[in-house]
Amino acid sequence: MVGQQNAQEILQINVELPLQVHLVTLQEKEQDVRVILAHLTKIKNIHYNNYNECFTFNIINMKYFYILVTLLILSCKNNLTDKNDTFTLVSKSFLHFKLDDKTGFFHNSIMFSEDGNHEFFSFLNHINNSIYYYDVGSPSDINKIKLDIEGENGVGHLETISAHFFKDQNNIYIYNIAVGKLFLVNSKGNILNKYDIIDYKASTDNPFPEITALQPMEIIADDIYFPCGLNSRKMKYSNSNTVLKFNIKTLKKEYILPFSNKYDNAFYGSTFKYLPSITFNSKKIFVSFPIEHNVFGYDIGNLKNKVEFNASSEYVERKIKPFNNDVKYGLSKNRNFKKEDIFSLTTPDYQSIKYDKYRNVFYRIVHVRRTKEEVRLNNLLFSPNISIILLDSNYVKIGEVLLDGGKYHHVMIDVCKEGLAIARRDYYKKNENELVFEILKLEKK
Amino acid sequence: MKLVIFICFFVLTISCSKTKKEIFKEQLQMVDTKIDFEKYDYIVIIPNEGCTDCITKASDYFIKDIENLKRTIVIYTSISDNKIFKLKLPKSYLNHRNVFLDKSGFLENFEISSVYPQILKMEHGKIVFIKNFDNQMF
Repeated sequence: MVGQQNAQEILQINVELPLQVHLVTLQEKEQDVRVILAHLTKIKNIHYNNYNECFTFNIINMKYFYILVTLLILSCKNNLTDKNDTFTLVSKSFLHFKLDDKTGFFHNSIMFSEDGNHEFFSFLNHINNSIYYYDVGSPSDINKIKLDIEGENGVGHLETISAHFFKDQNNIYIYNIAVGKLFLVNSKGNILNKYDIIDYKASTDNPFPEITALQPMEIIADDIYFPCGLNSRKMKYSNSNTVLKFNIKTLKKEYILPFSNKYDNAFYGSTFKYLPSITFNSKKIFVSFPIEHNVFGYDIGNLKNKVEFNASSEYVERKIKPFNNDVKYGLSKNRNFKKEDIFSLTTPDYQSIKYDKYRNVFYRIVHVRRTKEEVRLNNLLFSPNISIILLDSNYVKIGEVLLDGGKYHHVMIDVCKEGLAIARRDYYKKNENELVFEILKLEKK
Repeated sequence: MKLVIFICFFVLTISCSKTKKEIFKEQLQMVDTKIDFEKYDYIVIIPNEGCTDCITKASDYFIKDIENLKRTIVIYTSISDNKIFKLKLPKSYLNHRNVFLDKSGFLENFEISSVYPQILKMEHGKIVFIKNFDNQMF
């Protein structure tokens, strides 16, 4: 599949000028291509131009050009499949959560959680400023917590990108991103406590929390961890932290976990290419960055004993590259935001890392984004394919599974007792009164 | 021989580079094959998501005046959730013969999409100009 696509892409050859050849949309195997070209044709000064997404070089002899095209097509047919994969995900069951007349499919903040012997599924419904939750054993029974916008129990107007954390039925954290405040509410929607997290009026370079189902806030004891988005572009990223840790007892705020130093060397595109995802096992906190093949782990508490392990995807390995090779581009006044967005939305990234405490494994979630042509012809911009990388407790990759973005939703994914739950967008198209999750279970091949 | 190859590539290059108007026309035809573009002077594209204020004002304007605009069609695009979208607009308006829904999102193509409503001036089925709506137009 991957090989065929590349061959088709390579066949799109344009000549602008007699002495220039562009191999259009050749997005992967950049280095290989450059080496092959240099060795076989003695062509010098081959450049890959990210703006135009093409290779540019001078033709010395047309004969070499034909050989080159043939070689390129052949070289790109190699698949990057990892032969050592021993585990996979298999469909185990489906959960059909009933929806009312005013509730749609997509919710940015969803989660599965346990309370005693019960497992709950919950989401923040921004359309009516509510939390909806279900006992997983009774998915037809909708429980709603209406949240006031103003007054004694007002949490403000919750936007799409606000988030929640369902600790139990009487302790639900609501983060209102618009006002930078965290609220603790009970099952009646009464505010039990509220905390100032971000003062948007203050002049600061600190990053702001940016939370989704793939980058959720996490709670360990009295500490709440918020993954943060970029507040500004920088010359150097590795000396800046990416996660806000807030202690609900002491009210202390602290920024932790630095960017990968890969960000220091180039400009990687839209801000979501910089958004970290965090997860925990019993000992460590782990952070994953969208453009970094490796995942980093630190001891919870003192953040020492750093571990770094490769968790790369066979669908991404050679496709991650910067939009611009100079990190300073992010600070320039002549940025082309449209091109940055297109580039960012058509190149793959690692979106999330999730620890599965029930099976002691990690899932790393990859958005295998569509090509420009796929988007143009089929409207697939916001339905990237999804790859799930499976890692054991020793951080060793034990499998990788590719899912069809036309069927599975790329954001509504979480770990539940029975496996990895992924929302099915195709089921909603057939029945708008249900939100269906498919449960995928880890199994040996 | 070299000249022939060069000419072939050159022709291919020219034929492959499409203008925004051409891409728009191509995508519009995919939205609904029954639309006869020659019958209309204006096509208005309203995204469901984007500049909220501009979108609301554009929708309000056409809800009020759609009956008087015989040679104008309105197409809604970026409809991520049909169920929620239908809650926002009157049923009679959505069922009007000059109102269409781009359910498959053909107009979300990022070569032509915009966060603002767009107006396409048509002449004999061809797009003459494309202009973004802003708040000042209503």
